[in-house]
Amino acid sequence: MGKKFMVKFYSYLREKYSSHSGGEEVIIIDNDGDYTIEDLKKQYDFIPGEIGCVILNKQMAEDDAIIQDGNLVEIFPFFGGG
Amino acid sequence: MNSGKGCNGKGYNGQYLIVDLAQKESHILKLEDSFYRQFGGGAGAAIKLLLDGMDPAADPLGPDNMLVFSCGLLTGTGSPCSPRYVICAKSPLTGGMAKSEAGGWWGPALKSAGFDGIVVKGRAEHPVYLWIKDGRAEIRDAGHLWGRVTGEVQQILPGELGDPRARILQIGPAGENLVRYACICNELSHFNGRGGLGAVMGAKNLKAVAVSGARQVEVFDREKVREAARWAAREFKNHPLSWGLHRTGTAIGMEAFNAAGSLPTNNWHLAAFEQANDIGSEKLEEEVVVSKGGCHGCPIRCKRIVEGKAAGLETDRIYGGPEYESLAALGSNCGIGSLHLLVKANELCNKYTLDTISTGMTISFAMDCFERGIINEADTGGLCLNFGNEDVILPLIEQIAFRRGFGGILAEGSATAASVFGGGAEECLLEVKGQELPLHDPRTKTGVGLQYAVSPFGADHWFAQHDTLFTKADAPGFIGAAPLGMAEPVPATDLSLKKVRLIYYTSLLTSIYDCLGICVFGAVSRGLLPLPLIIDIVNGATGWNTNLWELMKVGERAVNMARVFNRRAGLTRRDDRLPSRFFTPLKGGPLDGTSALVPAEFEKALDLYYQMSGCDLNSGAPSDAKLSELDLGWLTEKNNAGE
Ligand code: SF4
Repeated sequence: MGKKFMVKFYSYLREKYSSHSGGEEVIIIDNDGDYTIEDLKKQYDFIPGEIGCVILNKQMAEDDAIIQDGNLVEIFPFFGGG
Repeated sequence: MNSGKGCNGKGYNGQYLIVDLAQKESHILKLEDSFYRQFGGGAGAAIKLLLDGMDPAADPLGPDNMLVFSCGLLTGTGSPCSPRYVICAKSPLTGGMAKSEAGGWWGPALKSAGFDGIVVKGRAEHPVYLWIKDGRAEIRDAGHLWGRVTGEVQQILPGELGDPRARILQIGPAGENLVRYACICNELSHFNGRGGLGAVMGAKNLKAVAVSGARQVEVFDREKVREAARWAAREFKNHPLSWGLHRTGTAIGMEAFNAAGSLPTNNWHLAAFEQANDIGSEKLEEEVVVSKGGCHGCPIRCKRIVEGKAAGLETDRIYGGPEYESLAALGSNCGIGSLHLLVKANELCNKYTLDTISTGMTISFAMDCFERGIINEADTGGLCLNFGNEDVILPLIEQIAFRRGFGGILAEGSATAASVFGGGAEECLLEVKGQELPLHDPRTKTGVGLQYAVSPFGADHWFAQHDTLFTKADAPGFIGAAPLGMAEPVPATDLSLKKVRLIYYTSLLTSIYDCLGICVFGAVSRGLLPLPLIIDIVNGATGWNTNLWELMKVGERAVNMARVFNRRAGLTRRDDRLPSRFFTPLKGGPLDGTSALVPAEFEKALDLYYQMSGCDLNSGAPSDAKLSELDLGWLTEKNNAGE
């Protein structure tokens, strides 16, 4: 069955990691096993320190959070104090 | 100060201009190399000169307060990301030491004009401005400039001086009217924002300081400094934090903090704002940004120049654009979600030289009081101060800047306004030592809470580095801080001894930057310059053979001298506290109901901080042993005099 979910990049991460101008990507995973935020991060060539918070269905998500079918993952760039 | 051992004049000029406005005279103070090695320049030099020259018990708005403009050791040398100068004085907002840095081009121009800084004493009888060109200084009449907004003065002065290269530092009407959080601007878009230094300048009847210098600052090894600048110009593109700042500016904080559930909203009652994305970096870019802006010798160019075109809210690009702090203070924290209104509000603050953080935070405090019924329309002159009321923001800024009506109370700062309002208004306060908080929530970054409390300069979000830079082993901020001895990452909400050590060490690091003139956005841990390169640059500019140890002591001296000043001004550990709001859970957003700080844990962390830094647990002031260790033994007697 697999699962299908949406990833949304914010700000300049869009131009780096999304092929769509709105920064939204639909991801389809074929296998049925657990798929975590960490697994998702591995799909991209993020520079260490580039990613700030990751939000999974409006909740703060750690790397071990499991993404379910139909979820929305929002990825923000790091902001270290302005 | 000048015992004849001399000054090698590499990287610095070895002299400060001393101006006595009451006597209408100026002279030069020559300083030796040993002064620069001990105090660095910038903040260290400024605080030392204040301790030497004034009584910390003086009235901050009286003639006996001193105002010191002080360039960093590297400022103007061509070193990368090092454009900054500090201004220090006794603060009319906190009653302790005020220190605020700014970038731009004014500091490098002062250095090129032959001075490392300016010490202003006394009070002029009539409004004046200073004109400093190529080693000479003049006190000139400013009667025709008084009352004018910053944009007008910026336009008039270079022509009047016949020098289009003159760089202008000035106050607007808020400084003239002694608003206790008036700031100082240079070139219209760089601000010494905090501590009410604009009011100190206004109290001295000093409208502006124009500087121009044709001489290149001498450096010991120009090629070494140039190579570092070339390295920074190449590498900032590969550094995620520096590149992020270049691409989005600080306004990305609006979207990022909102998503993370730590965006101050409605006077910090909420941690998320529904309209955050309407006033964040993306909308800013889409609707009003016309170009990027930056500072002397910095490749990052993190600033945004904006031009608002909405009817009735048009703004002029000469005033720069809003940072995250301004958008959050005047925006989410007042419940305001109109970008064009915020761009206009930011422009007005810049025209009048009002610190946007304290202005927004004082308005949000008044809104909170209004919503709770502590004040009403009879008190506010008919203004309905509900959160989100867009109609009141611009009128309140005008009233504060000109001390009209209700604005006259708010111009005193939120802490004083709370005592005027009474009726429990102090529960609406979010300040430390009388200075309104910057827009970073200590519940999600406990170390920022610690630095708010212990900073001798009032609540300051760059007294030390931010927790989130050190949470992961592969984060550039953590890796870059390795030479400080940081062995393992520390979670953002940890408040154990690891966090206390992190804040203690990085407060010294940040203080080094304030002495050298380095921008915190340009160097470890927030930016790209690594510590070994910074040491190379200092050696290249000065010809010294310095190292991290010696520089850490320079930073530590500055912090401890500020603490001694505060002690003598009457501040104690009781002033090192956090507002009660942070001991309650966050509301709204993904962290709803969590993250309250625990009072006993916070007190324990404070105790540990004082012990680590060699301060007395009761007074919060450095012990005589610590002062002696720092070769500040000359302060021990004065320190004891404050007991
Ligand atoms: S990072 Fe930004 S504020 Fe700092 S020196 Fe560079 S342009 Fe100026």
